Amino acid sequence: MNRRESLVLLLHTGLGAALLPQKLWANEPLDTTQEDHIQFFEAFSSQLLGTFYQGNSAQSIYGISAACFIQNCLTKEAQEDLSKGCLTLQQYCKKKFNASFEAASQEQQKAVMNGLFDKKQPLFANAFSFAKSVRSVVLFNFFNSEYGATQVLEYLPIPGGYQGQIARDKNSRIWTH
Amino acid sequence: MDPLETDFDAIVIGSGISGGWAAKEFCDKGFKTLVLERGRQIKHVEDYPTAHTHPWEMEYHGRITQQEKQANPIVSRCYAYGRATEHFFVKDNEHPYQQDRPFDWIRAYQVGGKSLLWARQVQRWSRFEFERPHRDGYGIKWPISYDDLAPWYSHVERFIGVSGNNDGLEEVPDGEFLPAWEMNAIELYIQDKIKKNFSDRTAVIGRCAHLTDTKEVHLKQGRNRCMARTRCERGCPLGAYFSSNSSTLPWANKTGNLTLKTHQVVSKILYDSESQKATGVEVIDAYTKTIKRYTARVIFVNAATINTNAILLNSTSERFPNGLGNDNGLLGRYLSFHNYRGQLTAKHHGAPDSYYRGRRPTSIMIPSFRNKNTNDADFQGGYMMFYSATREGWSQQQEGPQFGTEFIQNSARPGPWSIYMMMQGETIPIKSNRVYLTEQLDQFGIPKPALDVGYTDNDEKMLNDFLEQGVAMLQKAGCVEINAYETHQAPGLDIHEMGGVRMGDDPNESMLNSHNQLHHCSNVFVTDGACMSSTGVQNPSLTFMALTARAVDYAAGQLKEGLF
Repeated sequence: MNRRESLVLLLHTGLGAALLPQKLWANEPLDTTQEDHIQFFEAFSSQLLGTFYQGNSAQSIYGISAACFIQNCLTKEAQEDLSKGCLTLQQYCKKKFNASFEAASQEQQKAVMNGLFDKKQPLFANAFSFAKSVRSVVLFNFFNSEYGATQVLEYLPIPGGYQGQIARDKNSRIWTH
Repeated sequence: MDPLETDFDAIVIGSGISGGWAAKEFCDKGFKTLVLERGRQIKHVEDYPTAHTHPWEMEYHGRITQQEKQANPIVSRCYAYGRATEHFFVKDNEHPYQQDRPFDWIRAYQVGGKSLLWARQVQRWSRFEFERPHRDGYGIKWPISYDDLAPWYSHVERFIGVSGNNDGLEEVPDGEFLPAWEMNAIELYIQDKIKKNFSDRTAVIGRCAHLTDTKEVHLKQGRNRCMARTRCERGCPLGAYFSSNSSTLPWANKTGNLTLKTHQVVSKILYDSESQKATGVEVIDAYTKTIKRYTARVIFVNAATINTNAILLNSTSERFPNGLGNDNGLLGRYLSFHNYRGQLTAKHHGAPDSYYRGRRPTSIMIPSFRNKNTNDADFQGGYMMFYSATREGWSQQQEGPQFGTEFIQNSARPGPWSIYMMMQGETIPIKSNRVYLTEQLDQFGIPKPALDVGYTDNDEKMLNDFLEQGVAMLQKAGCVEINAYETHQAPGLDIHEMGGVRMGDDPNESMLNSHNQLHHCSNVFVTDGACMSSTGVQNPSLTFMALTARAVDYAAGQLKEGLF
């Protein structure tokens, strides 16, 4: 059973329903390139979302959604850039930790994430741009998921009206639709 | 076929924003009216399948895939096109057309047409719109004035429901308004700075066809107050914004005088040389491809600008070998549109503790301030500006952590203020901008239209002025990181195409008279965008509706007198 088949099984049994960031997408199977990056995307999502991460590496729900989105919604050029970035990052991790990003320890992953978002001392050429691109895909999926939209943001499908001026304080959340 | 099913007092070609109005007005006056729609039925509420769909219920959360974009490069450029609305748009390969120069023709073949998808901004034309083209020598004289249309603006506004303020501005005349939408703190701040620093311009809240309150006439239509969802282009189950589907067509239907036929592609208007009048229309059933004829005493052509032109061009006869009423050879010429090429973005650090709630379906407008009383700019015509201030969402740039729990918490908080400003500019009607028919036939055997339309130097000058003035105004308003740029969009993407069958007093230089009647075929009227002699500055749909109601009133009088 491959990862996609396991996701279908999860969907059908309902086991993953509470965790799924969205319905299963894409009727076409993932191509090899994206399939290869699923575990990286999952581990990246885990680090990015912190305690808001709702998945686990066995299901790779975030990883599969990121891979599906990249394959279908980004341009070929953007996909190639992301693939190159993934390969370069994994080479960096192999050299540094003798392990892939996803197999590295939590501390090692955090150190790599810090490095990826360090504009002044980039881990490798275009590392910051690569990290921002992956982050934007994961965040798009996350904040448009039921959990992200309703529990993290304030989901307002029917606001009822428009108020031009309300107070904003430290507890204000973005309302979304 | 039973003559009762084929013979009517009036035929209206098209069920969009002006066709719906023609149907309503004729039916209200007791005339048996046939509306012919080339597309499918869209029933209010029940045919809005995505009205309540959540983002997580849509494939790719509503994002269009690259494959879909590549298959539909034209329609996917439209701001309203997406996973939740794609079923209301014509796909690029469904009804191809010829582009001599790039022209993004956005179409909606269904009951209601683009009235389901429009941006709903409605401002009256001012006397400047009617007078300036002829005064400054870039257009013919309009055969009507603002005063001729003013009562019809009121008639339409009361029925459709328009939110706004009576601002007392000559450039955007006051009207029959429902309560206006509020501005947020930064929008008010910018408004104040513009007032203090630019004596020739004023920023006011936009006017839109949304019910901020319901009058008896709206409740009779079954419409309700706007809930500020701004999922409008999916179809509004509340009927809170005006569309043919929620308003004019159901209203007309209740009279018992309306017959609406879908999947009926009008190929031509039939002309009788003896009576010198049109006798009816020839249609092709979109499914069976069978040809039918419907007859009527009067015909309103409201197929949307380009298709209205195409139908008239294809309506050839011995008397009119170049298209119905086309003695002067100008049919299809002077096609115009709106210049949307300029935009600005900026940031503002004011009002740190202020936020807003809900989604307002309009923005702030700055009515045209160029070439009002004289041609004092280095270009002709006018432009208006729109701006809005919003707080950035989860994609905001942040200081501090770039990943992890705290980063997500910060991402979920309203970000800094972001300003967006855009232009809507009048374009000059020029003879070489045109629609014509090719020798290629479509799937119905009707010649495909070709569009040969482009910008002029005037548009470049106007664009530059907008960008310069926009920067100056945002600077005075305390904005930072101002970015002024050109969209490079092709004509058509504005979805404000107008002209080709223009109104005018002189039959040698126009197609329609002051009542939207073809000069040379008096029982055929054109009241959609095709009738416009110039584009004006304002959003055009309200004027199409007012012209339609006025023309129907005239045609009804002629019918009653037995002149048709």
